[in-house]
Amino acid sequence: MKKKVLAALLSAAMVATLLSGCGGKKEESAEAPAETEAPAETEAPAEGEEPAEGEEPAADAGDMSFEIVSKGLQHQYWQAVLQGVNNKADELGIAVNFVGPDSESNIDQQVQQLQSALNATPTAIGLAALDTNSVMDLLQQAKDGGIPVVGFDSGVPNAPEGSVLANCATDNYAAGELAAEKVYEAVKDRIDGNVRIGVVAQDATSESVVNRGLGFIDKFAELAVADGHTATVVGNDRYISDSKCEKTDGANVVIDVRVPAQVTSELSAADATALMNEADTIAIYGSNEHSANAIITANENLSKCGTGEGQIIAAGFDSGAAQKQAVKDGVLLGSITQAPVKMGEILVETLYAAATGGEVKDTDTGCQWYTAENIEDPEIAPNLYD
Amino acid sequence: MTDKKQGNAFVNNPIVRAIGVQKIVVVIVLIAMILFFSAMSPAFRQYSTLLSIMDYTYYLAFLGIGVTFCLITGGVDLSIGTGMFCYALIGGYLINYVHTPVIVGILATIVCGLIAGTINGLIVSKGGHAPFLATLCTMMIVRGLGALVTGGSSITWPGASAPNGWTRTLFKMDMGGTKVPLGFLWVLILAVAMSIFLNKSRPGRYIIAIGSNKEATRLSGVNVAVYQTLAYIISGVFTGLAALAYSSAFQSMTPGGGGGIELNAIGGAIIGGTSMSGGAGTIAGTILGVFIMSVLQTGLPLIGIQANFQQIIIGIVLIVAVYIDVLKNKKLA
Amino acid sequence: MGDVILTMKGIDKSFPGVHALDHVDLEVRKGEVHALMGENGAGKSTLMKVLTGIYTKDEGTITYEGREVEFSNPRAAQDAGIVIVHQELNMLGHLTVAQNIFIGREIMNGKLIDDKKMNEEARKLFEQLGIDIDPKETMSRLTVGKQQMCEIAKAISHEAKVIIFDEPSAALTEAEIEELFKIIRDLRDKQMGIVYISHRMDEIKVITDRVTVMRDGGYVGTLITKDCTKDDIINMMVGRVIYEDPKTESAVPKDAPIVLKVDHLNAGRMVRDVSFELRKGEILGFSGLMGAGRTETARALFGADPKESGDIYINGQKVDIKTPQDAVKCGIGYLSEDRKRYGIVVDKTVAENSTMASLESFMSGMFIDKKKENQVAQQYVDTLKTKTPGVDQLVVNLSGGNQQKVVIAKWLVRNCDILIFDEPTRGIDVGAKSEIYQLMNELVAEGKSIIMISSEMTEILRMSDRIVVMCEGRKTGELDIAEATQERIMHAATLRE
Repeated sequence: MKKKVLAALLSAAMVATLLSGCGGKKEESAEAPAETEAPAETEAPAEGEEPAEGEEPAADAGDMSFEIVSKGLQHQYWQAVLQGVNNKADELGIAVNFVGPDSESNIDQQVQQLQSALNATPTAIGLAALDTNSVMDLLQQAKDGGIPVVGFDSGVPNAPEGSVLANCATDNYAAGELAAEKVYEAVKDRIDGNVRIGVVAQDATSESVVNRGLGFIDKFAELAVADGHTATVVGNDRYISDSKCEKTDGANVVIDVRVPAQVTSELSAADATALMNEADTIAIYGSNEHSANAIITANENLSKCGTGEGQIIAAGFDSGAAQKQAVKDGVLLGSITQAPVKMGEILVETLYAAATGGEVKDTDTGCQWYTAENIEDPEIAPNLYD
Repeated sequence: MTDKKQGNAFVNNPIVRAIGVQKIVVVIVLIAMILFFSAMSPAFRQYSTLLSIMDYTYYLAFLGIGVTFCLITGGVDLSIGTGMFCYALIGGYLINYVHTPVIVGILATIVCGLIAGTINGLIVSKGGHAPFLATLCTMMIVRGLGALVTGGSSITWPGASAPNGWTRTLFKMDMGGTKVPLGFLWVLILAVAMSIFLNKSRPGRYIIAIGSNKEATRLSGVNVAVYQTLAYIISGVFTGLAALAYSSAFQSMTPGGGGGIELNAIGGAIIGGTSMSGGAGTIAGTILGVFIMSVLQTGLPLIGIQANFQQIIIGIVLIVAVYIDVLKNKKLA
Repeated sequence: MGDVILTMKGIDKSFPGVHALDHVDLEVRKGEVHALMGENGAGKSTLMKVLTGIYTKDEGTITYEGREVEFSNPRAAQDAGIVIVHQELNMLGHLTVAQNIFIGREIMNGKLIDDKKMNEEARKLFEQLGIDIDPKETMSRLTVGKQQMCEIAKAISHEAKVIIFDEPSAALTEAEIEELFKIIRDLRDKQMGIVYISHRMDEIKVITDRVTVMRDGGYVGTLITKDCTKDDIINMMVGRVIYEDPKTESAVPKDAPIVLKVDHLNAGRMVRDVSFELRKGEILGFSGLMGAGRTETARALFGADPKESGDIYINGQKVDIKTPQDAVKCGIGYLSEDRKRYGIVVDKTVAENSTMASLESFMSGMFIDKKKENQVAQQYVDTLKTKTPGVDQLVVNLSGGNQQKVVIAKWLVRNCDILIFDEPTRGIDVGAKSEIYQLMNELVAEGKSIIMISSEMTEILRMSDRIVVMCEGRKTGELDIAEATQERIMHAATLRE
């Protein structure tokens, strides 16, 4: 009973996420930013903004200053966000101060940084909070001081109503769906009799990881059913119960989700090895860098991944040295990357809109499917980090 | 007065006594397990499974060899699991972000183990802390340290095909399309070397003596603190080696991870006949015990056992192993 | 007796709050066995620790081979030729005999230990001593007696000139003691100086040439052994005459009720088909050599070790004793041979130890009734004449004999009718010993029954009403005290299969 209520709540939450994704400023960017559309997608907002800027009084921008508090600076992901922020800030001529704690566990440091940001009385603040509770007072201060706050990346989960105007983040569920579409396209002709699709998930607790998994599972099942197959989910209980895919006995497409008991590489590699060793496995998907690496590690012993006859189609998520190399080598068919550069750009745009009293909305900052062919493209390359 | 001769003809057979009853039993169990998994899963019968088993064996064997020395002194080193992750994170961080040559990263990894081991040893021998408590504290320290150094993000060591990836071929070499588990050679060489060290060198002899009767060893004019510290240093250095083996096999590690792996290694040592109460233990036994753990880790997912059940099964195996150790000690008393 | 090899003069040593040695003298000559005697706590061990560098002396001089010396640690003393054979066996159970003998000074072949050479050297050593021990055998597989021989061999292998034996016979059987004495005489004939610390008066007379007596950390005097009597020595030690002759007949009526009957008890290889009866008011002595299975029988009876088969009847009722708790419920109390490990909790007070086995009768609601506890504990301190400043004294601060009394109090508080005394006087000095004996006699006079396990023949003959003799896990004899002699007991104790 409890489980069902939970499932209902979660699906409701997902629908809400979906809707908010669809409600983004560009419809197409949320749904299917396929590689062909990607260039258009990245350029579109820039083009759209340019004339707008011309219309606004230019003097405004020069007086503006934004404070952006991220979750860290070290990792290349944040560096890419910073790059996007700088691109857009230069373009608009706005002074931006981008900071972040030394590590994602340094909650206190981030609170300090947010405090300093507030003290600087900026025009607007961008925030990716490590811990919502510890920034609650400061959010209230910002509200009282009339400084608009916009969330980005994971945003400020469960922030009190009205304290955060909007979120600029990757829609993980939609990103998972994109992976499913790509993988389905590659294997649809091979679905002949009983087949297994493996999903290596790092955990069943983190919302972003779970949504990336569920997006993949639901979309893949949907596409398979549309083609006249039957599909079901097996393996981890959380994924089974939260998936929209009905549990069907004797389905010919089995989506097998494995979650390790603890987040360590050797356990995930064991999961990937086991999945790839199943005789009927035709595809495997790793829903974050950790899981994609597990697939790559397992393949080093098994040599089963690839696009050739009888090989297993593998897809990953995020980037990283090993994963990029695997995509180039053809071990992975492709991988989903978030668009941190674009996230940075959209964040600055949203902050600008908030500062100028314009309309602000939650925005999906999009994601991209990269393969051996497009990995070096200028639209893709900046979003890939080691 | 007769000596306390016991057991039957099998136990008293000179060959059996030379090898040790427990090791023979472990080999039989190991063969039984391999036969069982082979029967249950066609995938287990493939060559690639051997490679997977080896991937698990390398780091567990290094951890196991190291911790065997601590166990023989009557102590334990609980910091090896998280330590392994911490040292690999630091080494990988140097390579990835400071862009030092790979060899510097490797040396840093081992030196980190050496330092942590020395600290453990000094806290135990000079500070007089209970080994369990002292190493539990260092476990927490290295866990935090790993996250601190890398800024909380996970680290991926250079891949096999990357220009810096030569370390990985040290453990798994591609010979004309066939992957050869070269790492096993290093495990064997180090196991033999440490076995000779334990049984034939003075420090090794004193490490056994300390575990057998610390006070008597002290009264024999042996500087007990030095050799007790040495046991933890060995454990630390081998944890560094394990960190290399782990990053070679599995590439990436998350800060704060690795907790629980120490129990797999300690469990392997105990299965192989090393006593929790000190004085007894062999490197060969530890290697055999580690194989039990790595075959379990490879085999259980292949026969479709869910992750959480795998943990439960391994936990039960460890309880049985410790129980056998308790029984043995009772018999001795 | 040859020249003086070692002289300790005016040795003074204080620890915080204790004046442990008060200007003590000791002189050892080449080719003599010199007894060092005194009650527990008299300072014998402290004096030897000062000699071998474990403690530093506050005052006094040590002259060894004509030169004044001060050793910084036992190793330095060893190197100079002064070696201790410790009271507690200092064996490394997991190593072989040869590895034990050469620990700390292994014979090397390059960087590696030459175990083969060490075995050879150990074999030579044993030949020289006339002992039959395999140097390659694991130490823990040897009997206590043979382990002791290994300790001696180890001492001699240091090319010792002075050997100190610290209560070497405490854990040995009569036969092993004979063997030990033979070795000691050999060593004496080789002009070594031997210091022999012991509580056993009989041994002193047999083996030593001179006796130095200490009391309360002070030097009392030195006597020529053959010119003095046991009583002279005891008088010097305690200042009063105590010696009791063997019991000649049982005081227990023939028709006294049987309180405990053990029928065909089996538990492992050390307890095989053991049957016996215990009567009300009786002291039943258990004699036998080390490792005969006496303690194992007691432990199986008490539920401390698992039984395989056999029945136990208390007052004619069959009882099922699986754990010590069951045994205590049946009114059986067990005084372990190893007090520190099983008998008492050393860092608790006398009162806490006294009530440990019967706490439930001292509870007032959820809490322990401290007042009642102290009151009852004080009562037993008085009746048992336990020497303690108060019931709140930590047991660790009491002497061995008084610790033993606390253990007895524990079982008396519990109101146990059957008491098992396992080596009740081991490591207890002469004065306290006779108090324990007196106490045991009082207990049986009150109608309690006692099983007494003892390795000391004199103790068995002096205390028991009836004697059960065991050998290799089997009961090999049962003698009434009237017919018991040392010879008959030894005969039964060596009846092997």
